[in-house]
Amino acid sequence: MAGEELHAIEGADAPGGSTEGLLRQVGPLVHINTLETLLNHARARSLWPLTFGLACCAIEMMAVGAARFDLDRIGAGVFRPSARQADVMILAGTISRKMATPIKTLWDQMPSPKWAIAMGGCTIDGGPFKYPGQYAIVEGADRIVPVDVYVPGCPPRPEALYAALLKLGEKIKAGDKFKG
Amino acid sequence: MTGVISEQITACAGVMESTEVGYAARGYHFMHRAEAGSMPTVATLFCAGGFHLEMLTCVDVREETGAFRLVYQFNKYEAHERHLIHAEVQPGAKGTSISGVFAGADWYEREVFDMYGVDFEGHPDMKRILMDEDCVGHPLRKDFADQDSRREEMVSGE
Repeated sequence: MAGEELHAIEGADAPGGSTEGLLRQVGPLVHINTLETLLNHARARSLWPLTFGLACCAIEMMAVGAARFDLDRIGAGVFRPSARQADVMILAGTISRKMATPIKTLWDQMPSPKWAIAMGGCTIDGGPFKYPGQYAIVEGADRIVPVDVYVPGCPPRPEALYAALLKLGEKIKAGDKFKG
Repeated sequence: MTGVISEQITACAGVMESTEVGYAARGYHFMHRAEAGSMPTVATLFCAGGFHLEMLTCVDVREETGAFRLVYQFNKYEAHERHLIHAEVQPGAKGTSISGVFAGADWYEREVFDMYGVDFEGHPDMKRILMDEDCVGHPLRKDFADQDSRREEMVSGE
């Protein structure tokens, strides 16, 4: 947002001093920006993940949602049971080929804007189940859905998923200006 | 031979060979070899005797015997008596379903079909259970190797 702020209270009667003097004291009062930026700030702190676990990583995901780590602190604790109400898909666990089709269906059912987090080694590239000639596993969640944040670990610690959701928040807030 | 049901099983038509084995060494008390077609009869005997089906699986021993070997285990906790049954099925031939006797055999038989391609006569709903529907071949066959042509392409995005 740098460079896009506007210092303006035109015509405001500043008691006991000039307008510039007041502005120096309180800083910018009005931010002029695109509506999208405002929406992105709201989105970044009201992520609604899909209630959806694939394997053992889902247990860690549940721990993040529970009292000790408490995803509600960053507004991501409202796990939705319907893909129509969710906007972030946390892929927590091994993706078998048979499960690939339902996952794609769920992803398509989620309304935009939507984001995906690949949690754990299996969703990054197949993890421990990847070997030449394997016949059951999708080698990486990014073969089915576009992944925004990857969380390494087997399974990742709850803090790691927490960090991923914060990272996703940064990415959303950056909007078009997001780099790498 | 001792045991609450071993004499009945040995006498059953289709059971070709019965041996008592050491439980401590093998984990089961009796071993039988039976014809695949006689399995419903054998299962009915076990069911009437209060046994339960503990597992049903298959081994690809085509290199040794030219056939698939179905492996059944029946157990009864009260009697502490476990029976292992081998039944051979020639490639292309069908096993006989025991899901009418033990309903739990339904999914075991589907798994055997999925992994080894051994079909079961009289099964109510024979289709794959673990692999996706467009999987080619049967993964636990020893000659499975590269039958699955989709391995490289995989499910793509849009």
